[in-house]
Amino acid sequence: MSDAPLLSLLVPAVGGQGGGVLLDWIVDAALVDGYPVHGTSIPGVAQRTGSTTYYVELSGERNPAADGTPIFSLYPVPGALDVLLAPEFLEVGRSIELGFPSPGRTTIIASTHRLYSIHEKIVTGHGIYPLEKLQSAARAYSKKLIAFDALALAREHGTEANAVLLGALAGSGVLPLREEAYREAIRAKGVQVDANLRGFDAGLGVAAGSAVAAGPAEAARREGSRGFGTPLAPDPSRRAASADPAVIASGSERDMERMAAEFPEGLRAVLRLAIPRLVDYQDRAYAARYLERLRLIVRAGSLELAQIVARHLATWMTYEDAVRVAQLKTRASRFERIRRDKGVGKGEIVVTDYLKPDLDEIYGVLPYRLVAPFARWAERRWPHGRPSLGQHVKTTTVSGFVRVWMLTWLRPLRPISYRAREEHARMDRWLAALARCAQWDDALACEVARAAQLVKGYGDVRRRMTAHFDRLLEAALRTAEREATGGKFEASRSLAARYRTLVLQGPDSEAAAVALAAETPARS
Amino acid sequence: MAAGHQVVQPRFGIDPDVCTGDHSCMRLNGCPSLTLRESPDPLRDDPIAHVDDTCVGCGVCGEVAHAAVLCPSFYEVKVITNPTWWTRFVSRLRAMVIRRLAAVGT
Repeated sequence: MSDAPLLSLLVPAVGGQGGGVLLDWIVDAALVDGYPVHGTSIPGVAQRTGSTTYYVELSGERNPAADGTPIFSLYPVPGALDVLLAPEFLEVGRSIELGFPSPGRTTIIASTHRLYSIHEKIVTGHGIYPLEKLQSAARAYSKKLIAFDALALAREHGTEANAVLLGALAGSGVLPLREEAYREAIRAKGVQVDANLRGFDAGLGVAAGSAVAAGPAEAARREGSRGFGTPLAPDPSRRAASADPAVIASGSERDMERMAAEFPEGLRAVLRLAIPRLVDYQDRAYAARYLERLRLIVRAGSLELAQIVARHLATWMTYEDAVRVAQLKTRASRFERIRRDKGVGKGEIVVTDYLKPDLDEIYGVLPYRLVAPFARWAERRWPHGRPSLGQHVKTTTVSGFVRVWMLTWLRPLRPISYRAREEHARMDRWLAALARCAQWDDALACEVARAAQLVKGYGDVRRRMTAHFDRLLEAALRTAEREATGGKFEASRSLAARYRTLVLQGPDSEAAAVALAAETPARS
Repeated sequence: MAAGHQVVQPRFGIDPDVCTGDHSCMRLNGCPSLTLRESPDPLRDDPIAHVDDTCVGCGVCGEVAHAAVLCPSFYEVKVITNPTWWTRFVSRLRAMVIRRLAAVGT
């Protein structure tokens, strides 16, 4: 038996990242250079209820035939890992949680791009695990850290991240293998040889260049990896996305500046987005109505409060009714965007939209006086799951386009529609509550203002969310009224904040939010 | 495709200005291609749903959102590479009529 030191390497992968191929390359490269080696793969369950792991052990000495073959382990041992090769950044965190890497021994080579896990995706609000925490954990649990966006680099070179990571492994020099041995392994595999060699060289360059290469922040700024789960890279097209360029170009910009002029400087940035959006949604008078509402809040409270309200009120007043959806779906810029996003180039596209307005959305666009009795009956008849009109519409055909586009003609009716009446009544309740809260305590008013973040979704989701919004508003006001005599608004403030946070965590925490609203006023 | 024949590839997508970011679709559907992305709308806080370029166009996301009456954000796009002259002619004609119509409206 050999006493040669064994080197261990772990590749935790989600699946579909080429981990198996990566394992084969490493094992083959070791064989090329004559190191005894052993590789295992333990399949997990894809989509993040468990990860697939690939594990390699190789002897630190070549040709130990004289002493016999070393005895290899099939599994990694916590704390005794030489290399952690992570094809995605959360995998580093998962391995640390399992105790595999250790600061005294492990070299961590990781791609910093993210594939969001189910637990991050299903949160109603913002559930993405903070990247900084992963970064500091990776730093703390490694002897050496090589972290860079391997996927972005792979895309630049027209290849996959696994080849780039293999290059980084070679460049790190942790394993005793020659660069040429890795190249030989890639060639021997015979699949996409040229592309993989390009990726390998790119990775090699990064690892040889610096220990801690381009951090995620820098990598995020790179274009090209945006689509594939990079840490919420800033969208270059981020601007007044839904505003019609014509509205902005037609000299109405000066008009907008005039409208915004009386507001404090700290609000202008939001107003520059909000006003064109409201004009595009309805008309100039509608934007004026927005400013009118905002003016009252500016007078009543702090700048911070006004900023929160300005943002939420703009999205709320442009609520997505059937008319708005039709407007957004039939815009020329939309089809251009689809062509760009899907990389269509010179090809053609056929777009099919999945539309399914429910009864609320259908009568919502009709005049209040006409449909109110029916709506009240329908709400009693179907408290949940109202009937809906499902249709798949080909909006790139003339007939399909016309069917959706005709809905935009209902825009002049919107101000007197059933939906408008309901939405604006709720907005007014919110604004009145804010004015009242601002008299008591500005921090409380800000917290209640943030509740508008809950108002989102379509159909049943929106009804559920607005029910939470109503409950939050009611409970916070009730609590604040009791606290008003003491002049301290701790309980109402924390109620509003906690209620919102709970609902934004997802449907599983909503019951806790409801319970919180029910008990808090009783205690104070 | 390399031979120059017409190839039709389905893909799914989400209109970023229609999605309000409630992530209900992801509670019902664990597709790895259905993921999150920063909202292009600076007025919104929460990330929106996004179908990335690993989509194979199976259509489950769209059908699930449709069956559960979630939202109108999903669309299917058939990407036609190397279109035949007939496909190209029909598409151009449709696009021309649609452009005219859209110019009349909003």
